[in-house]
Amino acid sequence: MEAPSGASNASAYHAEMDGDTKIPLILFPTCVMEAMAPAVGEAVVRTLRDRGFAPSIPPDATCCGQPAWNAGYPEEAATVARTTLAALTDAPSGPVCVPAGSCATMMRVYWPELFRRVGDEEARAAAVEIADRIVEFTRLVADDRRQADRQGTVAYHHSCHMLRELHIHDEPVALLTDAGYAVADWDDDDRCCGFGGLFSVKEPEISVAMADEKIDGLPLDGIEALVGSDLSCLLQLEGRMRRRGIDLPVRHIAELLDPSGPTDVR
Amino acid sequence: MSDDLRTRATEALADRGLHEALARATDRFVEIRRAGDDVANLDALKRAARWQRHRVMERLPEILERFADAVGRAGGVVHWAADAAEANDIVGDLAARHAVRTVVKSKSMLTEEIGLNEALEAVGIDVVETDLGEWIVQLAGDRPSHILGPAIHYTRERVAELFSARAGEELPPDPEVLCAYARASLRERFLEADMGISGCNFGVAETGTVVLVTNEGNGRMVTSVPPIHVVVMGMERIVETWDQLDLMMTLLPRSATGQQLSVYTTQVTGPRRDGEIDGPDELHVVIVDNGRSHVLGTGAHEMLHCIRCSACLNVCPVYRQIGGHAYGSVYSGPMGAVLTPLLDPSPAATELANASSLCSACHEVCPVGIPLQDLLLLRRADNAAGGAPAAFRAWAKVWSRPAAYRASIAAVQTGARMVPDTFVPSAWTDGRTVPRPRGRGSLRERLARGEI
Amino acid sequence: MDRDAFLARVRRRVDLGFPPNAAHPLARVDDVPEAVYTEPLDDLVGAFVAAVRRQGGEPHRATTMEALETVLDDVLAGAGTVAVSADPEVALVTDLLDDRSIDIVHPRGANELADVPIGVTGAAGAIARTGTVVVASSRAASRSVSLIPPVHLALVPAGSIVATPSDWWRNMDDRHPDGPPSQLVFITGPSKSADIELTLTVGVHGPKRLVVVVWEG
Repeated sequence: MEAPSGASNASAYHAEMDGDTKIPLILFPTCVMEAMAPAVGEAVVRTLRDRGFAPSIPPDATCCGQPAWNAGYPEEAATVARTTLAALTDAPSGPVCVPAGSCATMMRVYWPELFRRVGDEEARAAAVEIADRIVEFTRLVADDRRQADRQGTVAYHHSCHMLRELHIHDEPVALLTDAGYAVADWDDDDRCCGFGGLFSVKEPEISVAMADEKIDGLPLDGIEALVGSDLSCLLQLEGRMRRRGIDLPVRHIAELLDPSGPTDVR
Repeated sequence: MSDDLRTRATEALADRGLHEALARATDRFVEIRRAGDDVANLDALKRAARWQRHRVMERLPEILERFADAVGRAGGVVHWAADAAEANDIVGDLAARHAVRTVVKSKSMLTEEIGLNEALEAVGIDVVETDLGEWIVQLAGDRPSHILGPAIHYTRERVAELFSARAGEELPPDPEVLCAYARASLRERFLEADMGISGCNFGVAETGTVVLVTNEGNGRMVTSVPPIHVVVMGMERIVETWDQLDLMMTLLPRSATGQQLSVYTTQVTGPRRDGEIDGPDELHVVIVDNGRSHVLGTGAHEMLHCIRCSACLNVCPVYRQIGGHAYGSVYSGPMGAVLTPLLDPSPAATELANASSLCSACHEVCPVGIPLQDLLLLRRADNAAGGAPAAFRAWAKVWSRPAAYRASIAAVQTGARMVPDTFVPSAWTDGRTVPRPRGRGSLRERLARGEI
Repeated sequence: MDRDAFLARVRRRVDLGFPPNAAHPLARVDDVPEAVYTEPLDDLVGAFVAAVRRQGGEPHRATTMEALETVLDDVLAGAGTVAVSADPEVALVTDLLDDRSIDIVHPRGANELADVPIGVTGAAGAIARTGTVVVASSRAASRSVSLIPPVHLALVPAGSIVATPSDWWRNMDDRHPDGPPSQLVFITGPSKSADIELTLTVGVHGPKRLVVVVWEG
């Protein structure tokens, strides 16, 4: 409904490319990816390199602050977010790639409000300044479409913040189909998985019921993996499926785009 | 409000019949809303509506005055109620003065909010809800579970039981038959009623007009047949001009039921005039604050923009699971989770801020662009105004120091590998199995060392 | 609470100002835009008739008295009584009703309509996009003739049809030079409810049948 936000300037960055020179890019890896899925982070790095970027992670970047912000603790969120904001501001210019729609939303949409709320004008101005550089991973990569002939049929979960705050819907699906995968129809593909950060701990029964309804709607017989672009949602869905004894592979989209990844879903 | 949110939600989740009814109803609401999409500039209209609602709030005292003056010029009487008790007293006094024995009502969530039925019944007045869904709920001694479809949690079989008990004969679970029974039964009540009470979808200040939107026609009956018509109106349910009314009415039915217009859009300006054969002899408009003015001047002021279309309930994945009653409030779903504690900041109400995964589906569909997810976040922050718990303070300390952050990430990864089900809260692992970490080691160090 | 105290309280709160939202900022929009429809509309009468049908009403076009008689006979279907409003369009059918020895009720109150099978009204106008019949108490002199009988027959002059609800609401001064009537009702189809399992049922409180004749004579 709003004007699309989070549009990448990757085309412009590509225009600056000179032969084999890679475009410097800041990768914000996200705490969940670093802790729970460094292998997915490697797939992200290789995919970005394949598309002409030279990713680096600012050593002092930590977390976007979202866990505390969503829980209602803006001071604590700001304390953490300030560290990351400073690390990104100090890093070279160029896109800041975030391989999770939720963290990208925190940084792009909520940082200005967070710093306004805690009365930190300097950080608020810096957050507004950097907002346009923050690009969610699939939107950045989708600027450079590549056809391939990988095999497999997957279901794709549209993560809420990515879909409704960054308005990214078509890009990840296009990337998957470009790569050769078939994306199965799934009625509930844009409904919340029930994670919601602290929500999944404070209201676990509702959270699990939400996951169950999504899982029950999956066309399990026709798919070889469940794919998403936000590891938090995937942890929730995978965590619930494992508990229910469903062993469907769960993959971050970068793993399916990884140039040195397997050529089928598994 | 009984128990806590989690208890009520758990009870609702255990009721599979309820879940099926909710899924069917909300899916249907969403489906019919899509079918009504005949307007090309809907997004522009929504942005304009957000701005116009804001313009009204900025000038609310002047606009209310203008409205009241115009109602008076048209022959109506305006009453001002600071809270629920005053509103109920005003209506009760009117009823007493006219020796009212029977009141017919069209659906009004505000009268549910202030407990008007109970107040009138306490002085011996027979109060009849005439919206079919409200009547079902009233006969069952229940509460509405949805601001638009009060009885969406009922199956046709349950309605047939209720109606059969009242009729003293077996009625089949056929909506046609059940509706016909309601029509005949309520028709008698309309014709004998001494007073009609309605809510108000919008007041139009420039002419003092009360606009009511209904599909069944009960809103028309209530405003046409009894000798007194009382409008109970939230003070924010107002626009200044007919241009604004047009904009709101383009959005309200489409967002509510996917209709271009509801079957009846009734626009009442004063009581019956000379030469007219019907309509009330008296029109009273009770303008109710009941906590609304205190929302102004706070960051949550946009909640007063709400036009009660219920679109946010229908798309809410939490409402879909637990239904309206689990919110323990007249207002449910995202709008209810925000509005309820604004009107009554009791712990049971403020806790409703947790009844959301912050998925933003509510904001996406809201016809007046209320950022409901932001207002839920604001409430969570207000709830935590006493300070963050020690765990969050410690978290902030550690994760604002890059070296400590990196060390903690390594520790979490190890924990998740070694003791996966003990390093996260049991509330999480009760229903989910923590997946094992994918890969090993420090992503950022390996990237810096050129190992990827 | 008296008016002044009520409004003073509201004013004090308004004067506190409106805190901004930097995540989803409020944007100024200078005009109050009207709906722009996806489908074009050229033929007002044709569009109106199609919309009435879509809403579950029974539309007819009549250019001659014979055509009007056919519709009337179909609607009467043996009924011996009709109630009429004071709308001038009703004059179109009074002779026809007399010819058929139909008892014409000019009600003096809603209670007189309880057993009348058909209510006949004119219309202050109509709206093509939505299939809406506009009834005004200022000319009908009655709110309940179009409400209480199970069948509502509305006679709509073709020239009174406007394209959209906006055309009505944004021109209230022209349509109602003396101010809005005590009751102005936009009627869009027969009475409907979906309160039982969201199953559509017709004729809950208002008329079960809405018969609309566009008079083009």
